[in-house]
Amino acid sequence: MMLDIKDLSKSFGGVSAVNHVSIKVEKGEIHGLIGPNGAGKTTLFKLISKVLKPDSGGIGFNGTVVTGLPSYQVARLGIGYVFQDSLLFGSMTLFENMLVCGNTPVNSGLLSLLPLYQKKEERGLKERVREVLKLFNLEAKAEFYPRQLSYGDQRRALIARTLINGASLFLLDEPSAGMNAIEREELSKDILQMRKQGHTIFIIEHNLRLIMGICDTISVLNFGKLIYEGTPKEVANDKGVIEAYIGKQNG
Amino acid sequence: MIEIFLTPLFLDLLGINILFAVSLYIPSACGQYSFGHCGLIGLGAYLSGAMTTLMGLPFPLAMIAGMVISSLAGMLFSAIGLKSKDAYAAIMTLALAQIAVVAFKAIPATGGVMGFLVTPIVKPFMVWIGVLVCLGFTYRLENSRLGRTFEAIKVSNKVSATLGLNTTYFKVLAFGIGGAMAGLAGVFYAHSISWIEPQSFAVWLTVTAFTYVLVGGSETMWGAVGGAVLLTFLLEFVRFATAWRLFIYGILIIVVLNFRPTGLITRENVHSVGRFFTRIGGFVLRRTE
Repeated sequence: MMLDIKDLSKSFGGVSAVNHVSIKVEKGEIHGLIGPNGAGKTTLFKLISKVLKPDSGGIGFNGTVVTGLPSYQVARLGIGYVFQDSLLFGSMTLFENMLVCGNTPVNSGLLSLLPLYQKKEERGLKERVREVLKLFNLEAKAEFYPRQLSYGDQRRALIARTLINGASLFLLDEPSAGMNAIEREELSKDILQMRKQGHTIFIIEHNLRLIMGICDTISVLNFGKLIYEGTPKEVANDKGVIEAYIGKQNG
Repeated sequence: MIEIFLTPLFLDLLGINILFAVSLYIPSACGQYSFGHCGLIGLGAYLSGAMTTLMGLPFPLAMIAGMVISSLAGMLFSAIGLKSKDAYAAIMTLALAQIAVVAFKAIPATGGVMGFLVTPIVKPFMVWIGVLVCLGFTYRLENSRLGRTFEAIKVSNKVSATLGLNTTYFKVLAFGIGGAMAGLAGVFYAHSISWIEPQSFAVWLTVTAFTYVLVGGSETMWGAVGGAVLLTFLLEFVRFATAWRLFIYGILIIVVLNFRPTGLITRENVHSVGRFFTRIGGFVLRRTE
């Protein structure tokens, strides 16, 4: 088991955003997380990556308890979080953006100022960046600035950077939001490719067609509670899930 | 006209202002705004001045001590400021700087409110060696992994942390580097002006440095350098209006930021200058082949 969320809770001033949720994500699977707006999906991701501190409950990753660790250490263990609203750093080229990682063999601190220090590792890292950009079909745009890239490419580049940073579990928060159909197609190809390489993906998505097409397991949250877990087919036919969604449509 | 700019004192001041502007720029490149920089330059000036003049210690030793104390104080600023955000952190540094000024006033050995006379040891060439070393260091910093890391943290602390970057460490480091440079500026100031008093290191000094950085451009170190050079020269032209200096600076900030929010020298400018030289280099290479 890769990620083990046990009885996790978080409330904001009396509103319980995540309410005693337990989810297990197996190694190598694509695990979907769906639910109506305000169900607590993003909060759950923020709790896992420690952008927010949980009120109670525990999180285990590959057998390590990560509940008390700060954000950057969680990232170094191999949990990569791609925010819903973040973009690339605007003043750096795509290639330079890929080099901003704290979890590579190349030192980012004061030592990196010495011109000859770690030249070999840096070459290795740059090689790796080219490899990953190729995988995401972005190698021709390496010297582009983010504003010269399409929105879809920017979003996919964020996933690529997380991969370079050595993540083995990817928390993708609505990666397809704002993408067109072609970009969405590319995205699902990328995700399947990453799984083929042995990575695990935990994904929040509103586009049901995308999520039903690629996920092995889907967890459904509503009002901070886990209401159902199963294969895409089971989820699509579950009465409670349908009610949660239709209830939202009426209300 | 030219002769007033070539006095040793003016050359010293120009170099000191550049150093001070860059020392403020470095923490800002990592998303931290320090209103307490006047306290840092003051610490460097007071400690080094006391060491050379009162204790008779050699200047190099005093210089290193001045840089170290300001660097440590800068790191303290950063560590304390980390508990709060943006404007609150900036105000916190201001409070610390005020404490420093009060402390300077309370020490009888350095003349209290009156200040004291420091042996003038510094020559313009020493200041300018310091400036060149610091600019070289900052240039390398900006174009390295560390510089990109600072930029990432400035844009988003949250995203940088989830990329595995220990943002606390880098913020404290940036302030430490900036503090050391502010300390060096203070050491040069004390041994060049040769009279230091607590009031020399009050908040107006930080405001001056902010003017350099904001008017010059806060995106690259060249903005800080350009701003310091431009305004130091400008001040010589309006010398008759010394009392109006802060007034003029205030108007300048408003005007420049209205018409050019990124300051006079933007990152794009720096890039195009870089491209220009690359092209010339390429041209020359082709000619010689």
